[in-house]
Amino acid sequence: MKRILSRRHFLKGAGQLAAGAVALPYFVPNTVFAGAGRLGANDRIGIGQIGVGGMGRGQMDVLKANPNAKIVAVCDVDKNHLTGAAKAAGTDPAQYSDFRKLLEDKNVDGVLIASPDHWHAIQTVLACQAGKDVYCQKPACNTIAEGRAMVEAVKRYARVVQVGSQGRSMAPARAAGNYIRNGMLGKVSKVTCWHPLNPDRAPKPDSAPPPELDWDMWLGPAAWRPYNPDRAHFWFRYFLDLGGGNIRDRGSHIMSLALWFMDADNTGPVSVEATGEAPKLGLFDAPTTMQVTYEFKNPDWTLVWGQPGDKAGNGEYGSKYWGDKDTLVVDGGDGATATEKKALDYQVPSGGVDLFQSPGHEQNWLDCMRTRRQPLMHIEAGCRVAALCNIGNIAYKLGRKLQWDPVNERFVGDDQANLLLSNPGRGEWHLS
Amino acid sequence: MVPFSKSFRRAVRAAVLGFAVGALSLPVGARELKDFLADVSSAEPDRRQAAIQSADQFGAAAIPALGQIAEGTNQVASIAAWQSLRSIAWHSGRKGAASGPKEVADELVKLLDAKRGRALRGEALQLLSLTAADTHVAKIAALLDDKEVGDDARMALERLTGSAALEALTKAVEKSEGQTRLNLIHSIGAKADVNAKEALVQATASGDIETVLAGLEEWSRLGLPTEERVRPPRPEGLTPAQQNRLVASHLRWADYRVAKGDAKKSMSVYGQVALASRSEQFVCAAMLGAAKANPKAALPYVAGLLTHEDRTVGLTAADILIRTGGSPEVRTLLAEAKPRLAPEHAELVDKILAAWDKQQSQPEKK
Repeated sequence: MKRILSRRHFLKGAGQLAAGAVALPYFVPNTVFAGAGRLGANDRIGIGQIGVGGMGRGQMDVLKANPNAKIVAVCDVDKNHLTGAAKAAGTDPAQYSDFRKLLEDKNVDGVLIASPDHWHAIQTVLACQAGKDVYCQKPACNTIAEGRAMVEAVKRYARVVQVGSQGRSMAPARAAGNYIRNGMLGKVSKVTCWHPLNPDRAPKPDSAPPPELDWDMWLGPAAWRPYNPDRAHFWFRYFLDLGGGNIRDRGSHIMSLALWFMDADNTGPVSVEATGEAPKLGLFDAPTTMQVTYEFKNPDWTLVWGQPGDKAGNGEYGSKYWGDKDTLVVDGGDGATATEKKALDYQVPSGGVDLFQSPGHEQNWLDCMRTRRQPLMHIEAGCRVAALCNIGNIAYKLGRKLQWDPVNERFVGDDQANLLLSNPGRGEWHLS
Repeated sequence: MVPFSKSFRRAVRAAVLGFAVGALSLPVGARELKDFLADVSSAEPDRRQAAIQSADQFGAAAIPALGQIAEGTNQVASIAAWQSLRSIAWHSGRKGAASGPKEVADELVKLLDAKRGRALRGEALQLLSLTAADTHVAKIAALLDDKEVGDDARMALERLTGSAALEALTKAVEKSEGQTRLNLIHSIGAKADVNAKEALVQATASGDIETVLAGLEEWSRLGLPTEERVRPPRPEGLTPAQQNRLVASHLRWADYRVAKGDAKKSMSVYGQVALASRSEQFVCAAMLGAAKANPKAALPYVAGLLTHEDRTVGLTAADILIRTGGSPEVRTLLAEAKPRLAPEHAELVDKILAAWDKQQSQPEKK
């Protein structure tokens, strides 16, 4: 291989950087370090999947159909999920019950994380540290501190991380975004979301976990709770400390589009206020009804999350954009996004804002792994929309309007609220 | 008609008023709490929901009874009691709440009694992490050795601000061992408090390599200047995972020092990582860190990595060069080297030079 600089020149340059190193480190000879996977320009990308239950299996089907990717490893703490996924992959993937072993697997170039939400941050940070690119299911994180740690790790190690708010990769979403960004609604002062209520149902009793499930590992960093089928697979999302309710589950889709359309991916609101009704029947603690109001400044606009909210379109959930010239309805917000004909027919004028046309959310990630560009739903955007969801839940919990500093990502003048910006990890699980 | 004196009339009026207030407040207040608790245990979902939603109006006074109901055998009542307890603690900082955080914490610590179940004690500790003051810390810290809820106690102390929580964790490290010791070190570090420095420095001096690495990881988080007492372990004999943690700690420390305006020692870290590591993510981190800390010194080195055997390193180097706008020295270097490069690398150099030309042709944004 031809080098720009000679080996001697190169070492001299690096040595100059190292000059003056005395007090701190001494590192190992380079032969000791294991090199990370060396992905060539045309190599098939090796994918390791962490969490291969419902959502993970769905994404496996998408990746299986992609000629550029190959499932080389799967990991789950539920043996039934693990063996079922290994069989479904059809590639005889390596099987792991501990994700740390998967991260050591040199055949893995990229990690698809579809574990429960409370695992996302730790697994993403460790994956970045291990030199893997990441597709992390939404919501990116459960706390503000988790989000900051993820952003820091992605930037430090130059990783490509896509967050799974795949609505941004849908053609109707791009059309709606172009319509709004190019001023067709005039000045947008309000975005209202609607969504069905969080579920509530008669509780099941706590019990011993089923033999195939490692409950302690499933809980991981989350505070200890006894096993209950309503607290585990899928249903965890209706607990505030695990999945955070639909504001975090679907809000990460719907409000992701709002931030994209309003060009607010790198900022946040200045205040948040939430109300809701506690469940009356069962174990879930996410409020059944919920209304959260976020106020943004410079430009000034208001975002309202509503369960049920005011349904403005045909979809079960969606959002409406209110401008001083016109309005626009966007149904869905995830993989089933739709919008009005006027936006679909809109042609971006020369010099106008033309949002990125995604080849598909997973494909966009795979493409970026080769080009080292940041994907459409990059980690900052993913953590910003998760932050909306998280501070909305904090405002609901604390029962008061909170002032938010979007630059430093802290509440203003409320020490108790700031205590909820992070969750201490249980046992050995912490953000490194 | 008997003429009463003014003072007599005042006394009678005060007595009547006092009786009325007493009749209205004490018995009614007592009845309301009783009704609230009956609603919590009700078989009617609407009544339970109304109770949960009004729990904060009863505040600390309701906590003992809610603790009892939470541990009862009636599952729906137990759930309503859990949620009421949370509501009382969560709302304790709200203006107009029946009880403030301290009053709520005073009652919650009583639920920590060893006779209570694990679930209730764990929940109480979680809620104490939002309400407890320094005066409650001793009772929480006393549980750090508890087999059932010791870890919940650590988590509560990790979240609590104030010197007492930090002191309790620091004291506990001294007599702990194994995973518990590591968890305590991470809790101390998570506070990102310079007062945690001594405890973390001591951890780095341990004879146990895992303790040393945990100490280094957390010490690096503080971003403090180097000092002789912090001696990283020699890497020989470490597992690959331990070596990676060692490098990651150094990189974080270096990045944090740069963020604090002290780039000198950080450059030495980046340089050593670049020289020693074959892990592309660490080489990328070193390039990025060095380019931020001292672009002039770093850019020739970054340019040298355009042809790195790992494409990720080369592409990251190109991205850094484009973003920093280059320098005459690096431009000359690239132009001279280009004819000797493989086509894919020559293409990369063209891309960089074109990007720089475009940047120069565009007027600077105000």
